[in-house]
Amino acid sequence: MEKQGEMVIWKRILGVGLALALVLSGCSGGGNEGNAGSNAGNTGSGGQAGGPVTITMMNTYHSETAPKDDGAIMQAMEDITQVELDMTWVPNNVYGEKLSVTLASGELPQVILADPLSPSIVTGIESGMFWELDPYLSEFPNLQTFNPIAVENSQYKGKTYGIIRPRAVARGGVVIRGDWMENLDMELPTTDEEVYDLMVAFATQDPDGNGQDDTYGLMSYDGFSRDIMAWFGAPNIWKVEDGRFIRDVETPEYMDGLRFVKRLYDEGLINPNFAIEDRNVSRKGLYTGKVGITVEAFDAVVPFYYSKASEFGGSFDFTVAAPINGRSYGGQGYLSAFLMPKSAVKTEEDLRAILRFFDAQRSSEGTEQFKQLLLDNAAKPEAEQFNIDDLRQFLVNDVLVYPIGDSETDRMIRDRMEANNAVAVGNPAFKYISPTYVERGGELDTILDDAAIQFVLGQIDEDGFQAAVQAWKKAGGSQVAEELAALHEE
Amino acid sequence: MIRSSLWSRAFDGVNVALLLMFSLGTVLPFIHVIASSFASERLVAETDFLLFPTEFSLKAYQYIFSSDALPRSMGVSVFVTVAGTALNLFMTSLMAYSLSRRTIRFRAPIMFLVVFTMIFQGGLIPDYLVVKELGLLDSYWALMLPRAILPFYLIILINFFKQLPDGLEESARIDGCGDLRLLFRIVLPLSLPALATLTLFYAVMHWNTYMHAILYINDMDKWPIQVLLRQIVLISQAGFVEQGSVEGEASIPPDTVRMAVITVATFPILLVYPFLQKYFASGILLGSVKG
Amino acid sequence: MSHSTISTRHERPVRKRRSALWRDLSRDRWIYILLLPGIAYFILFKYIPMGGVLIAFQDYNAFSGFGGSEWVGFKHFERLFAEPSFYRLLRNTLMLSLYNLVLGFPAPIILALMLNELRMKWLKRSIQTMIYVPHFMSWVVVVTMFFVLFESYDGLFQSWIASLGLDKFTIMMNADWFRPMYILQVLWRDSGWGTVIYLAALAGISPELYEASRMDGASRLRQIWHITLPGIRSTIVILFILKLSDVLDLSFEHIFLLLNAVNRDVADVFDTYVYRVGLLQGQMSYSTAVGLFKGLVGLVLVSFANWFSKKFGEEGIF
Repeated sequence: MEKQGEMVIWKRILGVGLALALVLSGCSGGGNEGNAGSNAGNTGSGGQAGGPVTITMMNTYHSETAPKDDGAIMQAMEDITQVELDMTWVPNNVYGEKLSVTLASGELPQVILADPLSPSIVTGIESGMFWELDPYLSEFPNLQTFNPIAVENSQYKGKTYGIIRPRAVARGGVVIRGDWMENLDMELPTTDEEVYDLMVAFATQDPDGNGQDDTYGLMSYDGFSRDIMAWFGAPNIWKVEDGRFIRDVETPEYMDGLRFVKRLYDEGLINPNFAIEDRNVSRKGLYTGKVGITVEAFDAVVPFYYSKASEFGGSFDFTVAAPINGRSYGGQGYLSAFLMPKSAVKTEEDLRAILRFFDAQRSSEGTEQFKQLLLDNAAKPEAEQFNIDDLRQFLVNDVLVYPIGDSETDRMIRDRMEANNAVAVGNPAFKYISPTYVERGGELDTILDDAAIQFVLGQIDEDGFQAAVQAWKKAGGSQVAEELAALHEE
Repeated sequence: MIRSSLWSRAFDGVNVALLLMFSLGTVLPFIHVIASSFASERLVAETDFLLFPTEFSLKAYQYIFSSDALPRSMGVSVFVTVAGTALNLFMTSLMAYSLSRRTIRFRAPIMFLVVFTMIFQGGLIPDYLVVKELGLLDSYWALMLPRAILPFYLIILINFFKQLPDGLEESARIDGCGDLRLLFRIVLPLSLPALATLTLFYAVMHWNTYMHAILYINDMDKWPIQVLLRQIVLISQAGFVEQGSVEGEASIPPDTVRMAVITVATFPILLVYPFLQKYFASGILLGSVKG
Repeated sequence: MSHSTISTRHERPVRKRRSALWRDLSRDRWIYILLLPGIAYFILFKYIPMGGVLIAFQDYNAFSGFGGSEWVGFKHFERLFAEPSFYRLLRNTLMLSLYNLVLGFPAPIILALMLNELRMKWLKRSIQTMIYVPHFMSWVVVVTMFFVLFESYDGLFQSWIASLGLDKFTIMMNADWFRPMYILQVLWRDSGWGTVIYLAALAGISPELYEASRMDGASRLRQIWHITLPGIRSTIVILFILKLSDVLDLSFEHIFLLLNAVNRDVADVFDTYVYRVGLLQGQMSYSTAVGLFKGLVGLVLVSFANWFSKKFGEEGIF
């Protein structure tokens, strides 16, 4: 085997000239055709009777190891959708690199996971590399039932290029140690002042009753949660007023929120290292009983904290407040989408076969089966359960958007998510791509993020913060606003 | 004489004390990692700098060995490290030998071109395309051939070879010794400390292979240990997580598991050095030739 | 065959120089044959991909490839030099490089010399093994551990400070402390590892030299100065020149983990900047241009150092 491989290699090495020509002259177009041809063989039977279709897909995993081909998740997915999946799993923290070499090589799988509005994908869309899906969606009833806000947020110039992975729209909320609240005889907060009072009480009134002054109010990491700004009515990054785009930091509401956070910091209610602490370190405070409040994506963290607390032998009680001051932010409603490159999906028939795969996931039978799968999984002992995060990566069914269980916690989370959804304020810029932001976005965001933290830490005052806002405008912020406004007008 | 030996002893004392302090500082964190891997999760969360697991637990190890992912990727790493290092030593020695000969022509331009590759690299995509065009994708060759010679180590080896006594070459020539025999019979055996150093450097390089494996190999069964290690260490690192996403909460492993994986993934490569150390003394041989 | 070539050439005085070349090539043919695999390797895996740096002069996108992307000349370089933070990035990068050169480079040499003076072999070996351990810890682990020990509010260091009746003393959120903290972590992690190469070089020094000097009654420090250091001088020179080649390449992961809102003014370097504007946004061409700029600086430094070392009687590298 090895020997043979070696022979082949040396033969190839003789073809240096070819490689050189390919790399330097970039006949990637020509190269692609051949490669794609061999790929297309996989779908040759595209959707016809006579065995299940094989779909090649590149996807990411967040868990320790990727799902196995013969593991529970892959088996279930293939059973429910009646396709063979040929997956390329990539660790989430290097997915970007893998995606860019794969795009450059021209040997794409039939389905790739990507942010449909990311700059490199948009270039691909504009040069016609990906199938536009709108003409075909009418044939697939279950692909028309996505949350319309999320779909709109994922479209490029009003056209659909990706099948989105649905996520809850509004997930940010105040998670509270319910037992501490009861110990101190306090109620769930509904206003920012009440949240503040609760934090003070948690920090000063010995909520765990151990007789020691060892608790604090709010846990935060890598800065602070933007959701706090929502309570004060600040826009979700951008708002549109008279056709102009206004960034949150320019509004007085945002400053109210910033002053609120500063007050928490000044009074020692928040972990003093919040600006640099790693989430793993900060979170320990919550499940080891040092802090009682966090503002995070509660649908994700409540189960996480419960499972952590139980590992520590703590019988905690976590509860979630209703949207504070009746306000909350909404996200895009999806996280990346599945796009089909034309070089790998040759014919409309092949495309339909792939769409059928996604459609089957969302059919009512599919939903029932996924629900059953998840309930069965939850009933198993923890060591035998599969990781839900793995399923989330290639699931386009809404079944994981809300907790499916019937426990009191699950119901509470569902209620809160619906309450959040009802009042969620979206970001009007989600669906627009500002060229200046594409080029300088990283720098621009950093200017504002740094200034906010420096303000909270007391290193700059309000004038200093305003100076940073001006610097941001000058560095390109104003231009981004103008570009967004122009796109909005169209 | 007595004064000088007193001086000498004081010198030794200070020297040993300083070195011991430094080595303590370097080794304690690793002891912390090992201790944490054998402790209960509760103890790890509550202790800042655990040095002894007072609440002993093997749960982390049971967990990481519960699937075959760890042993398999360790196997891959060991194979790639051994085979890759052998290839490195072979390729690097040949080239270093040639470039260390005084009679070779065009040495300066060649050396410049070698150094040039240390400064300018094509980057991920061109590297990937070359590997792909050579048909190396999805084979272990993709992890070994593209790094068969590291310019830095090549230059170091050339430097070592150059320091071999000049008389060696001449006397070998008079004995009718060709270049091949000179290299394998005389130069390499006399350069054991240098080769041991290179073995260590290359072995560590292969052991740390990470990005290449993910880019060049789709078959997860062929991924080395670092892929698993970094995934486990980085899952909890919010800074590296896709912006704005709150994925992966259900996947964050306990600290004890992270520590256990670090321990298991680091130990084999740590053992390479003590094993190689005996070759560092063989310079004595070289000295006697030189004298 | 080659023999006959030589003899014919010899008869023609006009071609004398060429024939001398041929004679050398022929006599040393094995040297050149042994060189071939290495040359092939460098062409195949280094110089062919190096064509990729040309995307610094393009607006590269993956779909059009190298051939199809638009050529834009020096646009990306102009942008870099016009960047308001360019001066800050250059200053920070150079400062950290300077720390690396002035403190990070000699540290392994000093450690190796100290180890070399140890007489008990077992002690020498154990210490060697212990001090190279940290090199195998990833920066994530190192920085997290550092945080927990020194920065964490109820951690060891802060508790100790508090017990002295002092206020919280932050290291990681203090711009003044960034550079010392950075270099201390680098020294801690990598100076033991760096000794390996010097210990190998030290192994090549003849013990007889020490004996002779001991006979002359030379002190330990004199021996180090007159025998040990000259014995590894050429290694030091070469490593120094090589170090200059990537002097602007700082360990991205390390700095990225230490970087925060408070120390960005001193901690932001080219690599973290590129990560922010380039990789996150998919601007391959711009990132490549920044890399090319760093490379040019490295090339100038290396060439200068090489020239300088030759001038002072060392061999240099090329």
